[in-house]
Amino acid sequence: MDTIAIEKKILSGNDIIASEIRSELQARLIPCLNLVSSPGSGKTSLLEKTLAELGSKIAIALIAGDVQTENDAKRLEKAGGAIVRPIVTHGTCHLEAEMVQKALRDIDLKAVQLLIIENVGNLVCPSSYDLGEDMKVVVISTTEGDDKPLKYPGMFRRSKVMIINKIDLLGQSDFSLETVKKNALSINPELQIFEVSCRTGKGLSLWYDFIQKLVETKKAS
Amino acid sequence: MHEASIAQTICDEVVAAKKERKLSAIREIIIRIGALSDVDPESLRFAFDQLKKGTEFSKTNLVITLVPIEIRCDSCKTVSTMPEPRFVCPDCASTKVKMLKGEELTINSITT
Repeated sequence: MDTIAIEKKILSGNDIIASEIRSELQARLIPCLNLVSSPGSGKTSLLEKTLAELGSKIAIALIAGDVQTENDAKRLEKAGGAIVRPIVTHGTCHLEAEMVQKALRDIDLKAVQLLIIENVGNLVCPSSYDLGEDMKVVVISTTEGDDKPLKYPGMFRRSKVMIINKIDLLGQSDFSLETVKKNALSINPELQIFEVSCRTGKGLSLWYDFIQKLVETKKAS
Repeated sequence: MHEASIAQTICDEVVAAKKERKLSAIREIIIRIGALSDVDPESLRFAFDQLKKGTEFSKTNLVITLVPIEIRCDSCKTVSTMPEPRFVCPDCASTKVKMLKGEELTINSITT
């Protein structure tokens, strides 16, 4: 019996394409966010608000991934202020770098200052696939369990930002803001946390500031 | 359930390695999966065993080594293996820690 050493990352094929995307975006000084969450946390609502506020100030391109339908992409197109491209995965539970690269071919990056990728609603599978982003932004809402960071540690560890949405509904369930933050920080002490309500608009100005700073910092880099 | 696509990627990689090195039948594919890799070993094994039917890997075993999370404290330099994914030094309670192991998703070797 012969043993042959391979020592190769299983997803190295995806990682190579992700690096190509990252290099191209870096060369053009375009920051890239990869938005992840469970289904129903409010990623699309957050993006609608973000486009309405920042769409006239920043040239945003948005790639909206969904398992089926282009509903999210249509909603975001209606919000205006951004170039929107859908990716329908037809059953695949995550976006892969190759899908993003293909979608990017259809976008004139010369005219773009910020790229946002809305991943498929799923806290497990998208965490394994690098899409060439600068950071993952994980969205969680107060109608979910406050132990989600402990249940899905990979995603919370690999994210730089956590957005807690639906804070207008606090008190309507057993969700504790303090517990979710404690849980998330035990997995990732460096997480930057925003508490927002896309319905009332509360807390969103800090998120908008964060994005604007991100674009400015990249431009100056 | 991205384990099916991971299993397919493993097969594709091994087919390439086999061709490149002109190998005969593969007995085992040995992989490492980190505790924080977000891949479930049992689902992956199931997916591989389904995929391999009727292919050149029909008699190949997938050998999975699980890698627990290992962290090193920036403050007291202690290296600890964590049974749970917590990123706090068990020795001095510092949260300034580096993850050394636990994110692996690697084909280690193959045997013929």
